[in-house]
Amino acid sequence: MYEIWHDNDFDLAHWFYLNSELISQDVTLRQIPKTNSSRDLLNHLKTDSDLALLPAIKYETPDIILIKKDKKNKPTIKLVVEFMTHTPQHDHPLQRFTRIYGSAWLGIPSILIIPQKKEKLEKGQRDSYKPTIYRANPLIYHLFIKTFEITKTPTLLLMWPEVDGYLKYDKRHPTAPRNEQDISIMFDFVNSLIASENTDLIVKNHIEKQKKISEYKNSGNNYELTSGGVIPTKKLIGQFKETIPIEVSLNLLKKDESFLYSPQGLKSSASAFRTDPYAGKVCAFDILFCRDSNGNRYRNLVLEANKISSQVKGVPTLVNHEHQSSTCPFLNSTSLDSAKNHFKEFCPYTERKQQRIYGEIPDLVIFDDKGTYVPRS
Amino acid sequence: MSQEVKEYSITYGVKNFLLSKNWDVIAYNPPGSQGTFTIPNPSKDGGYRGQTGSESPDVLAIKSNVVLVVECKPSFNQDDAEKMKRLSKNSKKMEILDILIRRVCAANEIQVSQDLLYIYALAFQGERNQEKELGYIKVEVSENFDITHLPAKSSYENFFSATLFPASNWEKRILRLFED
Repeated sequence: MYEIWHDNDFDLAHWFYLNSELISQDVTLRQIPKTNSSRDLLNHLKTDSDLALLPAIKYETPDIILIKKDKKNKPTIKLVVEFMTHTPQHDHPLQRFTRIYGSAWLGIPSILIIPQKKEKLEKGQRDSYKPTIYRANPLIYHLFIKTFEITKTPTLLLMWPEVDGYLKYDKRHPTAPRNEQDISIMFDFVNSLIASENTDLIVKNHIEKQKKISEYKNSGNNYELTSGGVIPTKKLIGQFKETIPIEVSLNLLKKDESFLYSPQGLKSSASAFRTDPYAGKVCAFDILFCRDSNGNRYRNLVLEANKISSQVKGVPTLVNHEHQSSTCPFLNSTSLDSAKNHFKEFCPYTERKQQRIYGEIPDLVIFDDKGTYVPRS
Repeated sequence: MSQEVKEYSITYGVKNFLLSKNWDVIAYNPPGSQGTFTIPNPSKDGGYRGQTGSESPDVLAIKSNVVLVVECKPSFNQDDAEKMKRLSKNSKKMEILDILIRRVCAANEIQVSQDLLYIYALAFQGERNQEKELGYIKVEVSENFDITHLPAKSSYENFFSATLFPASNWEKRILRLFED
């Protein structure tokens, strides 16, 4: 049997069921817990096999998670899908990338669906509105191509069908895309997974098509970034010499180069430490600038947390407690009783998104008050 | 059932009710979904990139050049009623809405041939309020419809019933659009 877990959009999960070969299977539609707090998780997940969901929501919750359960084998996550209807320039798709990143490293196939182009009516002179078309830029395509190549896991970027920048919706399920063009590729892929058929050809054809469209090069792709760049590690240490502790410097110097990501918008009137779109960009820059073709990190990834203090009223912004990863249900298959015991101690994946992502993915976080944070390896 | 799940169920019931009467649903924004349609705020500063003052009606549907705007809540909500009245009187916002609707309809092969007529309704559970300028869609949801855990099936229509109470100013031609 299968379970389609949804992030509160039941109708989207229903559409996913009706448009795939899942319609001939025994399927249950289930809601993903609203937050990653241990309380929400334990209120929502009722059996040992329900814990199979957790690896897919370790960093952030995708829109759809497909899980196969049978009596003979352990439940397995077959696919993760994220949908986006916003304009597709840079930040919006990157914001969603944490779901793809988390899944790809675990060998779980994943799909992000975005509009290739979308028109937005924007304020022009005086009271007029001018239509502006936004398009997905090559960096987004390259990110998915490279994630696939280094994790060897299908990570597909698919385009929501549109006409002149206006999206085509399913007639009966209007939060879902029309099942044509790239969306039919998704269902071919889903149906192959269900039939336990090889999906290599579907993935290869799609990746090759996107390499061509986005003029992807195996090396030397250039991007104009305003908030980060590659610098020699020695220079980085010189730049923050009064901040980075000596033992951290020595560790960083094992790699000649570092990627310093220094966004300006982490603090806003609405949030003391923003994650959107910055957490997704941390994951994206890791893949694009810090990993070799085998997935090894060959450059340090450093986040300069501008305007963020290392602690507020004596409470650390990111904590570095001991985590028993061997008993963690986000990382290992375990029982509900064992998970309950695990959650009595510190588990980073039940904490805020800042801890889950900034607390794990960079090699170093440098705060505004010269405090630093180094994630446990 | 949480308030959010109730609101989702009512919005879902309205969507299904309108589809059953052959309306095209062109915007559907139940709580928890990322939304498919936003009317930008015409008075916002050109340099501001946020969404403050923009509006996303829960349901927008169109049939024979009549556009129905619906706000859904578990019970009567005066703020929703006021919000719709404000929208209907905001000529700049209505101008933008008109442009957006025509473009979304063009992309989705929905015929729009002349001026659009806008009508408004609230959807909730319980008895009708005194708000007669707005239509009312009374939605009943079976307690067995629990979006948190349901066996998949082809349709969930038997979990819902919806009854339309027209606004006092709706003409016969509008009422006919809700007939089977």
